[in-house]
Amino acid sequence: MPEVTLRHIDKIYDGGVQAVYDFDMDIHDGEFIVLVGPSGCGKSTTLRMVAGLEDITKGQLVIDGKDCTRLPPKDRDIAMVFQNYALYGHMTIYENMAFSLTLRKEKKEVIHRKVMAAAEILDLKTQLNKKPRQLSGGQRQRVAMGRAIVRNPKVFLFDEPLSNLDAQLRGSMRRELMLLHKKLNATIIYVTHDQTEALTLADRIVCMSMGHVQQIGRPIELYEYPANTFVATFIGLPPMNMFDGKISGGKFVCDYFEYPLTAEQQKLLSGYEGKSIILGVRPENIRRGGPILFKVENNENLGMNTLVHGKVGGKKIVVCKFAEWCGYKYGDEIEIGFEPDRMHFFDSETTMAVR
Amino acid sequence: MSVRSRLGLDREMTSENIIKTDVYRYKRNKLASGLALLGLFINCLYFMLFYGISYQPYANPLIGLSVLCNLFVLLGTFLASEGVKVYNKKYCILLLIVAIIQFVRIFIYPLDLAQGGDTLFTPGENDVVGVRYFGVNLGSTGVSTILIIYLVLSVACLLASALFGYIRAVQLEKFSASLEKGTISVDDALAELNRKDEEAAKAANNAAGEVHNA
Repeated sequence: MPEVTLRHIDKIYDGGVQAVYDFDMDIHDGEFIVLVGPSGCGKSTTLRMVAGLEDITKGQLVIDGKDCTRLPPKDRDIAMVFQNYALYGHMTIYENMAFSLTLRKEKKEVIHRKVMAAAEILDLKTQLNKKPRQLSGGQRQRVAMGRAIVRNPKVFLFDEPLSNLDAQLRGSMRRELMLLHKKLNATIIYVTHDQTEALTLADRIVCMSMGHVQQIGRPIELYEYPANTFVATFIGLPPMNMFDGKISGGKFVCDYFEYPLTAEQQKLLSGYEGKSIILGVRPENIRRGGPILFKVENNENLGMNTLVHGKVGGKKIVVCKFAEWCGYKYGDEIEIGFEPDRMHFFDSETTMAVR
Repeated sequence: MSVRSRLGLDREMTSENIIKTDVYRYKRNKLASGLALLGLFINCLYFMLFYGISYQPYANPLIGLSVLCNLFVLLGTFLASEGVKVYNKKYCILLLIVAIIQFVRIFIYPLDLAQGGDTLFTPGENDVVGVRYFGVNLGSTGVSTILIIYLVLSVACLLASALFGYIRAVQLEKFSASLEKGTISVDDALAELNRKDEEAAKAANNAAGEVHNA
């Protein structure tokens, strides 16, 4: 039985603004779900509806077989971790972690055992007598997680928990979150706008834009087989290079170049002869040697690889990612081509992938 | 069973007791501190009533001593409440001293009022004890009764605070010493309790299974 079921959920605010359209998915027991998308796409609203902090305008929410659509947050058996930690500054870390259990009037010894167990998992045992202001951002976020863990909820909700941390700390916290998920085997719904977090943490990603779910799938599916141009450009860093063109005589033709198609691609695109189509190629799927002339503008050596920015056809900006250290200079011209089995085609009208 | 054992000063360090005492390391002694503050609040009620009395014979320089005594009680109790909150047993002595002062005070003005207000000082012909308290006019008997109740309650709170403060401070002291020596371990206690819980859960499951089969 799925742990959480969101059935055709809509969110319309009082002013008539619709934030979420027909959100429909089943989240299984122990699954790590990441809602990802740009600001204002409705991912936090969806999470807040699961938490009960926002009313569900239409649809049904079921948690562990129980209809929670109209249930107040306290009765949903969920725990939420916020971006700004939401710790009580006048309480010690121990008291912060024990607070929800104290409100439930649990025995002191029971509370103590749960707090100590959570502190052990999160490596916070030596910090329990400190106040939140004495801790670093990462430690505070761990306390916020600890506060959620002690409640042993059915579902953990994370609302951009790592956004306040610096890049290095975010990396280490990401690893800790992965370990935490393995240890607790908990059902987690996690909201982020950071696609790296989404790709590394998720069992399944829900990619959203303008309140609509664009694609739900495993990270590799979203990366390798994006459902539409939005997912293709949103997932992956640097984003996928997109070229508007058409299919003509077994070639992809655009304003900047003509590119021959393989027999397999021609078969796939047989219905698009003479029609507009979008070709998408990830920077790492561009190889040196091919029919396209690429004029280098910028060469960014990142150590393990090199990002080369430049133009094709004198206009179109393209980013290439080469696996080795490169020494290109402004104005250098190189010939490039695409890995044939890594070329993505999208319908110009619907923006959906052609498969 | 000795008094010390009954009070929990010499309790055996079972896993349950280890966990109970380990809580003290992370939580303040709010019970003892709260009782001390309650005693302080009751003392405030006491002097609010006492200084509201219109009785001329008490209006002499000696009343200053009463004011000083009140200030000492207020300051001492507050300091002691903060001390016992962090399991410092020295402050229990201060609480005891304040409790004794409060107890002794019963036998000065309140007792005098109970005896008609003419034991300590000689009243004039027109001197009558009287105060309007929460809309009720009180005479010497009423005032003295309430004052004595306030002081007794204050003493009780202060004594209870000192007792709880002392017991918990000693328990924590012994616990910390044992922890340092290595004769007890919180982790082992937690593990043992978890094991017991698991066994209890298993037993409950088995029992439920047997009932189901039957």
